[in-house]
Amino acid sequence: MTVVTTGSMPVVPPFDQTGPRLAPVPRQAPPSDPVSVHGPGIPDPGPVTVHGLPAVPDTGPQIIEPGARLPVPVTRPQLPAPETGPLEVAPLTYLGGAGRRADSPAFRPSNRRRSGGMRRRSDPAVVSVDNNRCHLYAICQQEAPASFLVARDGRLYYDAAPPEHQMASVRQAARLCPMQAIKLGGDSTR
Amino acid sequence: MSRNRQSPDIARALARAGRARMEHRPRPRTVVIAGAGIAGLRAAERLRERGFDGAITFIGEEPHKPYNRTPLSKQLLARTGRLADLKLPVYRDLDATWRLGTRALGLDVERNRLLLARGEEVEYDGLVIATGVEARHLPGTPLWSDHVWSLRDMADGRGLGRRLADGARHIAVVGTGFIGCEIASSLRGRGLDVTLIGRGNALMSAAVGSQVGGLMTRLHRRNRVGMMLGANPVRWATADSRTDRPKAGVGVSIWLDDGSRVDADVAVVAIGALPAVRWLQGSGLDISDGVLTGPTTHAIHVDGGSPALVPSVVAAGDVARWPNLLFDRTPRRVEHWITASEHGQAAADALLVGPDAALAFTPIPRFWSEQFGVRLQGVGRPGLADTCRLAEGSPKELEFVAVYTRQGVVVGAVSANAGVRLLEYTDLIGWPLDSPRFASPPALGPARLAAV
Repeated sequence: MTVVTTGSMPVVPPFDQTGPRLAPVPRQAPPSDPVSVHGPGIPDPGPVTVHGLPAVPDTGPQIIEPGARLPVPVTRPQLPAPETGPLEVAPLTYLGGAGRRADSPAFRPSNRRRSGGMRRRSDPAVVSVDNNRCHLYAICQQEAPASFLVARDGRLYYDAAPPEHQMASVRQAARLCPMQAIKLGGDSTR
Repeated sequence: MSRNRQSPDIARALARAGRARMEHRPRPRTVVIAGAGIAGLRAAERLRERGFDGAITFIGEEPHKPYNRTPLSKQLLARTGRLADLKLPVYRDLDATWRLGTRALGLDVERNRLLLARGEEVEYDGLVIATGVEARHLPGTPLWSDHVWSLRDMADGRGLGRRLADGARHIAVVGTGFIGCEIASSLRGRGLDVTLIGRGNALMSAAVGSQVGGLMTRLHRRNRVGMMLGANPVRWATADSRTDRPKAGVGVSIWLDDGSRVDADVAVVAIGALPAVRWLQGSGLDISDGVLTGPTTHAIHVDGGSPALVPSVVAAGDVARWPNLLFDRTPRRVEHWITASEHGQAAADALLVGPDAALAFTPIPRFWSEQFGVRLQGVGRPGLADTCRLAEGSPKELEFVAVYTRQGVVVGAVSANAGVRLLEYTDLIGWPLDSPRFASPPALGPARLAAV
């Protein structure tokens, strides 16, 4: 339940190697070994790696890119064999997201990540999320996928100064947040 | 006035929509919003966002401007939140007239007038019905008593809080829906003894099915919530009654239909809600279980036999019963906070563009609840499902996603402590689960779940 942002913090965990560098590495996150993201269900898309995220215990795919098509869970982590029969782990292996081609990588850094272009340090922060309130229901990610992201590391990454054309969806995210944790600058109170 | 008792045929009503009172439709200049809740608030905000510059008048029964009801059973009752948590953000200057503490008493659809007390009439060009719901009660419940409470609005929350601070130790909660379970969890968090009394055999089984409900029942048991399941209250006795008094030192006694009795200091009744539509009787609108509307949220007028859409009246929020075409054509009510917000916005849009141009309101219902630290979250209508399958995770650890299907088609999904994992199942709603693409696991059976 950690929310990561500062005035110049990234929207998303940054990617290297396969795309342009979009944002600086979060200072809090210790550098860790690259996590290879592919599974036996699809052909190996090549070494797609994530830097800057703490190593997660499971080796399942990382959900990273909400703006694009929903990342399809390629494999579910194999849980230990249940004592009570086969049911307890019955992964819907190919569930999730329609229309994904089997050979595309689990996620891909995208230039459309931040459609307003790179955010500059000088942009003032408009959005803030109350760290103590946020319970990671991810409603904000559904409403404004370009500005909010609940990453696999259990943190909410968000754009503190979204471009103007994203503000309508950011406002909707703030309205619908179950914990009312999102505060916008110029918050009016009737 | 003869009302058509048969349920009106929506399809026929839609076919007539073009002919129904559409001859002359000027842009609305005055919009009246009946009900100052979240749906009404979001409707007003959306009207202003769309550039509506006419007058907006709220007719609200409570003396408060719209506030967030959801913390009443959670943070406020658990005393982890503050009263300021009830504030709702608004991102537009509403420039509205607030008639608070005012109850709408009637509606004249023909003359476009809302009737208030003392014969006052408020004329409108557009009306948003968003009066919400009222707490439901069983007959014979001594609601007047200081030992029996419901939890619907801020006044209830304050009164119950004061009563609990008065030294109540043991609380009986009647009702095992979301609200009842949240109340139980919040009160256990304060170290109070709680007994849950419910009709069903599992908690929240109407909303999330008996399997996930069974898991939540185990969670409550583990947290030492007393349970009297499969029982209905039949008789009450309260310490401040003149006729029916319990034993000395007991605030309220509840006799159940299985012969047992529950003694407590305070009882909280949370057995669901009924739409607040009594004021619409005789208006000609269909108000059996909420205001019936078409898919575009326009109200349906049934007086005189042939149902027709009313272009100047829309209904939104918990009070509205409408067909969500995402699932089927059966009109239903949805009592979720997120949906109420979206409903208000859609109703405002529909009011501005009229029934011909308005889009059908087809949201994916979303809801959440937190009990004993378990974040339960759902999408769609799990209550419609005939089968519940475990999609991933482990029920034993209460970290899982379950997918609900009706005749093989996904209608909903529920997750516990797996928030973001639920998102990808949201897109499956409306799709068959056993199309060849998907590997279909065996259904969660009762025997299997007992083993879990």
